[in-house]
Amino acid sequence: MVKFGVEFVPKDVYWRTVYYAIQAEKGGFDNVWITDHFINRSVYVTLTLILNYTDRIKVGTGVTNPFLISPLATASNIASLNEIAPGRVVCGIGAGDLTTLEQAGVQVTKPLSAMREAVQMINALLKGEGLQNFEGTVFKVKSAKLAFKVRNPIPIYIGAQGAKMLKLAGEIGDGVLINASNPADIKEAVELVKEGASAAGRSIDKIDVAAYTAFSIHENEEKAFKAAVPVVAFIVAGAPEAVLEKHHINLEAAKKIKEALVKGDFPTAFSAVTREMADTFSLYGTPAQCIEKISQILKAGVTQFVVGSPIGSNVRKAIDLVIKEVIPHFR
Amino acid sequence: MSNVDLSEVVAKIPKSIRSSLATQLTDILLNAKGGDKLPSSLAKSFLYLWQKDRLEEDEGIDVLLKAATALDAEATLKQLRESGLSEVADLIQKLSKRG
Repeated sequence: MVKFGVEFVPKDVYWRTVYYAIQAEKGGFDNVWITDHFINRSVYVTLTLILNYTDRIKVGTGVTNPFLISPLATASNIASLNEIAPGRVVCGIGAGDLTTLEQAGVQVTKPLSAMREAVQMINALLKGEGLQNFEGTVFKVKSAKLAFKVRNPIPIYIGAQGAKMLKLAGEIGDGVLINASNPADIKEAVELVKEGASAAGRSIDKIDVAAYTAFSIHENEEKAFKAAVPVVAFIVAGAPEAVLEKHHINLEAAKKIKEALVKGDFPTAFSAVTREMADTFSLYGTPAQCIEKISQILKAGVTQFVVGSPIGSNVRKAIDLVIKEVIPHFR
Repeated sequence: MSNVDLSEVVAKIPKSIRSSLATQLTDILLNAKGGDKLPSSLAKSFLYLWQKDRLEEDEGIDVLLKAATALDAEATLKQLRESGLSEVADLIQKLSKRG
Protein backbone atom coordinates (compact mmCIF):
# COMPACT_ATOMS: atom_id res chain seq x y z
CA MET A 1 0.00 0.00 0.00
CA VAL A 2 1.33 3.41 -0.92
CA LYS A 3 2.46 5.60 1.96
CA PHE A 4 1.65 9.27 2.26
CA GLY A 5 4.06 11.79 3.68
CA VAL A 6 3.78 15.50 4.29
CA GLU A 7 6.51 18.11 4.34
CA PHE A 8 6.50 21.18 6.53
CA VAL A 9 8.83 24.15 6.39
CA PRO A 10 9.24 25.37 10.00
CA LYS A 11 9.06 29.03 9.06
CA ASP A 12 6.11 29.61 11.38
CA VAL A 13 5.93 29.27 15.16
CA TYR A 14 6.54 25.72 16.41
CA TRP A 15 3.01 25.08 17.67
CA ARG A 16 1.48 25.57 14.23
CA THR A 17 3.83 23.05 12.61
CA VAL A 18 3.14 20.61 15.44
CA TYR A 19 -0.62 21.18 15.06
CA TYR A 20 -0.42 20.18 11.37
CA ALA A 21 1.72 17.16 12.20
CA ILE A 22 -0.88 15.95 14.71
CA GLN A 23 -3.55 16.53 12.07
CA ALA A 24 -1.52 14.47 9.57
CA GLU A 25 -1.15 11.60 12.04
CA LYS A 26 -4.86 11.59 12.85
CA GLY A 27 -5.67 11.55 9.12
CA GLY A 28 -3.57 8.53 8.25
CA PHE A 29 -0.36 10.04 6.89
CA ASP A 30 2.68 7.81 7.39
CA ASN A 31 5.55 10.28 7.45
CA VAL A 32 6.24 13.88 8.41
CA TRP A 33 9.27 15.52 6.83
CA ILE A 34 10.70 18.76 8.18
CA THR A 35 13.03 20.89 6.09
CA ASP A 36 16.38 21.99 7.48
CA HIS A 37 17.28 25.57 6.68
CA PHE A 38 19.28 27.89 8.90
CA ILE A 39 16.90 30.82 8.45
CA ASN A 40 13.97 28.81 9.83
CA ARG A 41 13.22 27.18 13.18
CA SER A 42 15.52 24.29 14.04
CA VAL A 43 14.55 21.06 12.39
CA TYR A 44 15.52 19.04 15.46
CA VAL A 45 13.56 21.20 17.91
CA THR A 46 10.55 20.89 15.62
CA LEU A 47 10.93 17.12 15.24
CA THR A 48 11.36 16.68 19.00
CA LEU A 49 8.08 18.45 19.66
CA ILE A 50 6.29 16.53 16.93
CA LEU A 51 7.46 13.26 18.47
CA ASN A 52 6.21 14.43 21.86
CA TYR A 53 2.73 15.17 20.55
CA THR A 54 2.29 12.16 18.24
CA ASP A 55 2.21 8.40 18.78
CA ARG A 56 2.57 6.63 15.46
CA ILE A 57 3.73 8.76 12.55
CA LYS A 58 7.34 8.53 11.37
CA VAL A 59 9.34 11.73 11.31
CA GLY A 60 12.53 12.83 9.69
CA THR A 61 14.69 15.58 8.28
CA GLY A 62 13.56 16.41 4.79
CA VAL A 63 16.37 17.11 4.15
CA THR A 64 19.48 18.07 6.05
CA ASN A 65 22.78 18.43 4.22
CA PRO A 66 26.39 17.44 4.98
CA PHE A 67 27.98 20.75 3.99
CA LEU A 68 26.31 22.97 6.56
CA ILE A 69 25.77 20.32 9.23
CA SER A 70 28.55 17.84 9.92
CA PRO A 71 27.43 14.24 9.36
CA LEU A 72 28.72 13.56 12.88
CA ALA A 73 26.29 16.11 14.31
CA THR A 74 23.51 14.70 12.14
CA ALA A 75 24.16 11.20 13.48
CA SER A 76 24.03 12.45 17.08
CA ASN A 77 20.86 14.47 16.46
CA ILE A 78 19.08 11.61 14.72
CA ALA A 79 20.13 9.10 17.37
CA SER A 80 18.90 11.44 20.11
CA LEU A 81 15.53 11.85 18.39
CA ASN A 82 15.29 8.08 18.11
CA GLU A 83 15.54 7.79 21.90
CA ILE A 84 12.33 9.82 22.19
CA ALA A 85 10.43 7.48 19.86
CA PRO A 86 12.43 4.41 18.85
CA GLY A 87 11.62 3.20 15.36
CA ARG A 88 9.78 6.34 14.34
CA VAL A 89 12.76 8.37 13.18
CA VAL A 90 14.34 8.47 9.74
CA CYS A 91 17.15 10.61 8.37
CA GLY A 92 16.70 12.50 5.12
CA ILE A 93 19.88 14.00 3.70
CA GLY A 94 20.69 15.70 0.41
CA ALA A 95 23.50 17.69 -1.12
CA GLY A 96 21.72 20.93 -0.30
CA ASP A 97 20.45 23.90 -2.21
CA LEU A 98 23.39 25.60 -3.95
CA THR A 99 21.95 29.12 -3.67
CA THR A 100 21.40 28.75 0.06
CA LEU A 101 24.81 27.24 0.68
CA GLU A 102 26.46 30.03 -1.32
CA GLN A 103 24.60 32.58 0.82
CA ALA A 104 26.02 30.88 3.89
CA GLY A 105 29.51 31.04 2.44
CA VAL A 106 29.76 27.27 2.28
CA GLN A 107 31.91 25.82 -0.46
CA VAL A 108 30.18 22.90 -2.15
CA THR A 109 32.68 20.45 -3.56
CA LYS A 110 32.15 16.95 -4.89
CA PRO A 111 28.50 16.57 -3.85
CA LEU A 112 28.37 12.89 -4.85
CA SER A 113 31.44 11.99 -2.80
CA ALA A 114 30.18 14.13 0.06
CA MET A 115 26.86 12.32 0.11
CA ARG A 116 28.41 8.88 -0.16
CA GLU A 117 30.81 9.65 2.69
CA ALA A 118 28.16 11.34 4.81
CA VAL A 119 25.86 8.32 4.60
CA GLN A 120 28.78 6.04 5.43
CA MET A 121 29.70 8.19 8.45
CA ILE A 122 26.13 8.47 9.76
CA ASN A 123 25.55 4.74 9.35
CA ALA A 124 28.79 3.91 11.13
CA LEU A 125 27.82 6.04 14.12
CA LEU A 126 24.20 4.91 14.26
CA LYS A 127 25.24 1.26 14.10
CA GLY A 128 27.67 1.76 16.97
CA GLU A 129 30.70 0.97 14.87
CA GLY A 130 32.19 4.44 15.01
CA LEU A 131 34.90 5.87 12.78
CA GLN A 132 38.66 5.53 13.08
CA ASN A 133 40.99 7.44 10.76
CA PHE A 134 38.25 7.92 8.20
CA GLU A 135 39.84 9.38 5.08
CA GLY A 136 37.19 10.46 2.62
CA THR A 137 37.77 12.84 -0.24
CA VAL A 138 35.52 15.44 1.41
CA PHE A 139 35.38 14.40 5.08
CA LYS A 140 38.16 13.24 7.33
CA VAL A 141 37.59 11.98 10.85
CA LYS A 142 40.28 10.87 13.29
CA SER A 143 38.01 9.19 15.78
CA ALA A 144 34.27 9.38 16.44
CA LYS A 145 31.78 7.16 18.21
CA LEU A 146 28.46 7.88 19.87
CA ALA A 147 28.59 7.56 23.65
CA PHE A 148 25.16 5.94 23.66
CA LYS A 149 23.52 3.01 21.88
CA VAL A 150 20.97 3.17 19.10
CA ARG A 151 18.76 0.17 19.64
CA ASN A 152 17.08 -0.07 16.26
CA PRO A 153 18.04 0.52 12.61
CA ILE A 154 17.41 4.06 11.38
CA PRO A 155 16.70 4.34 7.65
CA ILE A 156 18.61 6.94 5.67
CA TYR A 157 16.79 8.59 2.78
CA ILE A 158 18.73 10.44 0.09
CA GLY A 159 17.28 13.59 -1.39
CA ALA A 160 18.04 13.51 -5.10
CA GLN A 161 17.26 15.25 -8.36
CA GLY A 162 20.16 14.75 -10.76
CA ALA A 163 20.87 11.46 -12.53
CA LYS A 164 24.06 10.63 -10.64
CA MET A 165 22.55 11.38 -7.24
CA LEU A 166 19.48 9.29 -8.06
CA LYS A 167 21.70 6.34 -8.97
CA LEU A 168 23.69 6.83 -5.77
CA ALA A 169 20.43 6.79 -3.80
CA GLY A 170 19.59 3.45 -5.39
CA GLU A 171 23.03 2.19 -4.50
CA ILE A 172 23.26 3.22 -0.84
CA GLY A 173 19.95 4.65 0.39
CA ASP A 174 17.27 2.95 2.46
CA GLY A 175 14.97 5.42 0.75
CA VAL A 176 15.10 8.16 -1.84
CA LEU A 177 13.30 11.48 -1.80
CA ILE A 178 12.88 12.33 -5.47
CA ASN A 179 12.75 16.08 -5.81
CA ALA A 180 10.25 16.33 -8.66
CA SER A 181 6.55 16.87 -9.15
CA ASN A 182 5.44 15.81 -12.59
CA PRO A 183 4.88 12.19 -13.62
CA ALA A 184 7.37 12.16 -16.52
CA ASP A 185 10.25 13.45 -14.39
CA ILE A 186 9.42 11.06 -11.58
CA LYS A 187 9.22 8.08 -13.93
CA GLU A 188 12.65 8.95 -15.31
CA ALA A 189 14.01 9.36 -11.77
CA VAL A 190 12.67 6.01 -10.57
CA GLU A 191 14.41 4.28 -13.50
CA LEU A 192 17.70 5.88 -12.44
CA VAL A 193 17.19 4.75 -8.83
CA LYS A 194 16.53 1.24 -10.15
CA GLU A 195 19.74 1.39 -12.22
CA GLY A 196 21.74 2.38 -9.16
CA ALA A 197 20.18 -0.35 -7.06
CA SER A 198 20.71 -2.96 -9.74
CA ALA A 199 24.38 -1.99 -10.21
CA ALA A 200 24.87 -2.47 -6.48
CA GLY A 201 23.10 -5.82 -6.54
CA ARG A 202 20.19 -4.47 -4.53
CA SER A 203 16.48 -4.94 -5.07
CA ILE A 204 14.42 -1.80 -5.62
CA ASP A 205 11.81 -3.45 -3.38
CA LYS A 206 14.07 -2.73 -0.39
CA ILE A 207 14.07 1.01 -1.12
CA ASP A 208 11.28 3.39 -0.14
CA VAL A 209 10.91 5.46 -3.31
CA ALA A 210 9.29 8.76 -2.38
CA ALA A 211 8.05 11.43 -4.76
CA TYR A 212 8.77 14.66 -2.88
CA THR A 213 6.48 17.11 -4.63
CA ALA A 214 5.64 20.78 -4.51
CA PHE A 215 1.95 20.29 -3.88
CA SER A 216 -1.12 22.52 -3.76
CA ILE A 217 -4.72 21.43 -3.39
CA HIS A 218 -7.96 23.40 -3.26
CA GLU A 219 -11.55 22.76 -4.27
CA ASN A 220 -11.07 25.63 -6.72
CA GLU A 221 -8.35 24.89 -9.28
CA GLU A 222 -7.41 28.55 -9.75
CA LYS A 223 -6.81 28.92 -6.01
CA ALA A 224 -4.67 25.78 -6.00
CA PHE A 225 -2.62 27.26 -8.85
CA LYS A 226 -2.23 30.61 -7.11
CA ALA A 227 -1.00 28.96 -3.92
CA ALA A 228 1.59 27.03 -5.94
CA VAL A 229 2.91 30.10 -7.76
CA PRO A 230 5.45 31.41 -5.17
CA VAL A 231 7.05 27.98 -4.77
CA VAL A 232 7.15 27.48 -8.54
CA ALA A 233 8.74 30.92 -9.00
CA PHE A 234 11.62 29.95 -6.69
CA ILE A 235 12.03 26.56 -8.37
CA VAL A 236 12.14 28.14 -11.85
CA ALA A 237 14.60 30.79 -10.67
CA GLY A 238 16.91 28.16 -9.22
CA ALA A 239 16.67 25.64 -12.05
CA PRO A 240 19.66 25.18 -14.37
CA GLU A 241 19.08 26.24 -18.01
CA ALA A 242 19.34 22.63 -19.13
CA VAL A 243 16.42 21.69 -16.90
CA LEU A 244 14.33 24.61 -18.16
CA GLU A 245 15.10 23.77 -21.80
CA LYS A 246 14.28 20.13 -21.24
CA HIS A 247 10.81 21.18 -20.09
CA HIS A 248 10.39 23.79 -22.83
CA ILE A 249 10.27 26.64 -20.32
CA ASN A 250 10.87 30.06 -21.86
CA LEU A 251 14.36 31.08 -20.71
CA GLU A 252 13.59 34.79 -20.93
CA ALA A 253 10.56 34.38 -18.69
CA ALA A 254 12.63 32.36 -16.23
CA LYS A 255 15.30 35.07 -16.25
CA LYS A 256 12.67 37.71 -15.56
CA ILE A 257 11.42 35.73 -12.56
CA LYS A 258 14.93 35.27 -11.20
CA GLU A 259 15.79 38.97 -11.56
CA ALA A 260 12.57 40.02 -9.87
CA LEU A 261 13.13 37.61 -6.97
CA VAL A 262 16.68 38.85 -6.47
CA LYS A 263 15.31 42.41 -6.24
CA GLY A 264 12.60 41.28 -3.85
CA ASP A 265 9.96 42.26 -6.39
CA PHE A 266 7.65 39.35 -5.67
CA PRO A 267 4.55 40.63 -7.55
CA THR A 268 6.54 40.83 -10.81
CA ALA A 269 8.14 37.42 -10.23
CA PHE A 270 4.91 35.70 -9.33
CA SER A 271 2.92 37.24 -12.19
CA ALA A 272 5.44 35.78 -14.65
CA VAL A 273 4.77 32.22 -13.51
CA THR A 274 2.81 30.38 -16.21
CA ARG A 275 0.59 27.32 -16.05
CA GLU A 276 3.26 25.49 -18.05
CA MET A 277 5.81 26.22 -15.32
CA ALA A 278 3.42 25.17 -12.56
CA ASP A 279 2.55 21.95 -14.41
CA THR A 280 6.24 21.15 -14.71
CA PHE A 281 7.43 21.99 -11.23
CA SER A 282 4.43 21.37 -8.99
CA LEU A 283 1.40 19.17 -8.56
CA TYR A 284 -1.67 21.34 -8.06
CA GLY A 285 -5.39 21.18 -8.56
CA THR A 286 -8.72 20.07 -7.21
CA PRO A 287 -8.85 16.78 -5.29
CA ALA A 288 -9.95 14.95 -8.45
CA GLN A 289 -7.12 16.48 -10.47
CA CYS A 290 -4.59 15.66 -7.76
CA ILE A 291 -5.82 12.06 -7.58
CA GLU A 292 -5.34 11.71 -11.34
CA LYS A 293 -1.80 13.09 -11.23
CA ILE A 294 -0.84 11.03 -8.16
CA SER A 295 -2.17 7.89 -9.88
CA GLN A 296 0.22 8.51 -12.78
CA ILE A 297 3.11 9.03 -10.38
CA LEU A 298 2.40 5.83 -8.48
CA LYS A 299 2.49 3.85 -11.74
CA ALA A 300 6.16 4.79 -12.01
CA GLY A 301 6.97 2.66 -8.97
CA VAL A 302 6.73 5.26 -6.24
CA THR A 303 6.07 3.82 -2.77
CA GLN A 304 5.58 7.07 -0.86
CA PHE A 305 3.86 10.22 -2.09
CA VAL A 306 4.98 13.32 -0.22
CA VAL A 307 2.66 16.31 -0.09
CA GLY A 308 5.22 19.10 -0.03
CA SER A 309 5.10 22.82 0.47
CA PRO A 310 2.97 24.89 -0.09
CA ILE A 311 0.21 22.21 0.38
CA GLY A 312 -2.48 24.87 -0.07
CA SER A 313 -3.50 28.44 0.64
CA ASN A 314 -4.96 27.31 3.97
CA VAL A 315 -2.74 24.51 5.24
CA ARG A 316 -5.27 23.01 7.67
CA LYS A 317 -8.00 22.85 5.04
CA ALA A 318 -5.61 21.53 2.40
CA ILE A 319 -4.41 18.71 4.67
CA ASP A 320 -8.05 17.98 5.46
CA LEU A 321 -8.82 17.66 1.74
CA VAL A 322 -5.93 15.23 1.28
CA ILE A 323 -7.11 13.21 4.29
CA LYS A 324 -10.77 13.10 3.29
CA GLU A 325 -10.58 12.89 -0.49
CA VAL A 326 -7.14 11.86 -1.70
CA ILE A 327 -5.75 9.26 0.69
CA PRO A 328 -8.97 7.15 0.81
CA HIS A 329 -8.85 6.86 -2.97
CA PHE A 330 -5.58 4.93 -2.72
CA ARG A 331 -6.41 2.73 0.29
CA MET B 1 -9.46 36.78 31.81
CA SER B 2 -10.54 35.17 35.05
CA ASN B 3 -10.68 31.36 34.86
CA VAL B 4 -13.82 31.10 36.94
CA ASP B 5 -15.69 33.63 34.82
CA LEU B 6 -14.51 32.07 31.58
CA SER B 7 -15.63 28.60 32.69
CA GLU B 8 -19.09 30.04 33.18
CA VAL B 9 -18.95 31.51 29.68
CA VAL B 10 -17.86 28.22 28.15
CA ALA B 11 -20.63 26.34 29.92
CA LYS B 12 -23.14 28.51 28.09
CA ILE B 13 -21.99 27.36 24.67
CA PRO B 14 -24.35 24.69 23.31
CA LYS B 15 -22.82 21.27 22.60
CA SER B 16 -24.41 21.29 19.12
CA ILE B 17 -22.17 24.06 17.81
CA ARG B 18 -18.96 23.21 19.62
CA SER B 19 -17.41 21.21 16.79
CA SER B 20 -17.75 24.01 14.23
CA LEU B 21 -16.81 26.63 16.81
CA ALA B 22 -13.64 24.72 17.73
CA THR B 23 -12.68 24.55 14.04
CA GLN B 24 -13.39 28.25 13.50
CA LEU B 25 -11.38 29.28 16.56
CA THR B 26 -8.57 26.96 15.48
CA ASP B 27 -8.49 28.67 12.08
CA ILE B 28 -8.20 32.04 13.79
CA LEU B 29 -5.28 30.68 15.81
CA LEU B 30 -3.54 29.15 12.83
CA ASN B 31 -3.92 32.16 10.58
CA ALA B 32 -3.50 35.13 12.93
CA LYS B 33 -0.40 37.27 12.64
CA GLY B 34 2.02 37.29 15.55
CA GLY B 35 1.75 33.62 16.45
CA ASP B 36 4.86 34.02 18.59
CA LYS B 37 2.85 36.18 20.97
CA LEU B 38 0.78 33.21 22.13
CA PRO B 39 1.78 32.39 25.71
CA SER B 40 3.73 29.13 25.82
CA SER B 41 1.37 27.57 28.38
CA LEU B 42 -1.61 28.15 26.08
CA ALA B 43 0.25 26.79 23.07
CA LYS B 44 1.12 23.61 24.97
CA SER B 45 -2.43 23.16 26.28
CA PHE B 46 -3.80 23.72 22.77
CA LEU B 47 -1.54 21.03 21.30
CA TYR B 48 -2.20 18.58 24.13
CA LEU B 49 -5.98 18.93 23.85
CA TRP B 50 -5.82 18.70 20.05
CA GLN B 51 -3.77 15.51 20.28
CA LYS B 52 -6.30 14.03 22.71
CA ASP B 53 -9.34 15.13 20.65
CA ARG B 54 -10.57 17.31 23.48
CA LEU B 55 -10.83 20.73 21.84
CA GLU B 56 -14.62 20.51 21.80
CA GLU B 57 -14.83 19.82 25.51
CA ASP B 58 -15.14 22.58 28.13
CA GLU B 59 -11.39 22.66 28.69
CA GLY B 60 -10.70 22.74 24.96
CA ILE B 61 -13.14 25.55 24.19
CA ASP B 62 -11.75 27.44 27.19
CA VAL B 63 -8.20 27.21 25.84
CA LEU B 64 -9.29 28.03 22.30
CA LEU B 65 -11.16 31.13 23.44
CA LYS B 66 -8.21 32.34 25.51
CA ALA B 67 -5.71 31.63 22.74
CA ALA B 68 -7.78 33.04 19.88
CA THR B 69 -8.59 36.15 21.92
CA ALA B 70 -4.89 36.58 22.75
CA LEU B 71 -3.90 36.51 19.07
CA ASP B 72 -6.86 38.18 17.38
CA ALA B 73 -9.55 39.42 19.73
CA GLU B 74 -11.46 41.21 16.98
CA ALA B 75 -11.76 38.11 14.77
CA THR B 76 -12.67 35.97 17.77
CA LEU B 77 -15.49 38.26 18.86
CA LYS B 78 -16.73 38.54 15.26
CA GLN B 79 -16.75 34.75 14.93
CA LEU B 80 -18.64 34.33 18.19
CA ARG B 81 -21.27 36.82 17.09
CA GLU B 82 -21.61 35.16 13.67
CA SER B 83 -22.08 31.85 15.46
CA GLY B 84 -25.00 33.33 17.38
CA LEU B 85 -22.98 33.62 20.55
CA SER B 86 -23.28 37.37 21.07
CA GLU B 87 -23.78 36.91 24.78
CA VAL B 88 -20.55 34.95 25.01
CA ALA B 89 -18.76 37.56 22.90
CA ASP B 90 -19.96 40.35 25.18
CA LEU B 91 -18.81 38.47 28.25
CA ILE B 92 -15.38 37.78 26.75
CA GLN B 93 -15.05 41.42 25.78
CA LYS B 94 -15.94 42.44 29.31
CA LEU B 95 -13.52 39.92 30.84
CA SER B 96 -10.76 41.00 28.48
CA LYS B 97 -11.16 44.63 29.52
CA ARG B 98 -11.04 43.58 33.14
CA GLY B 99 -7.78 41.69 32.33
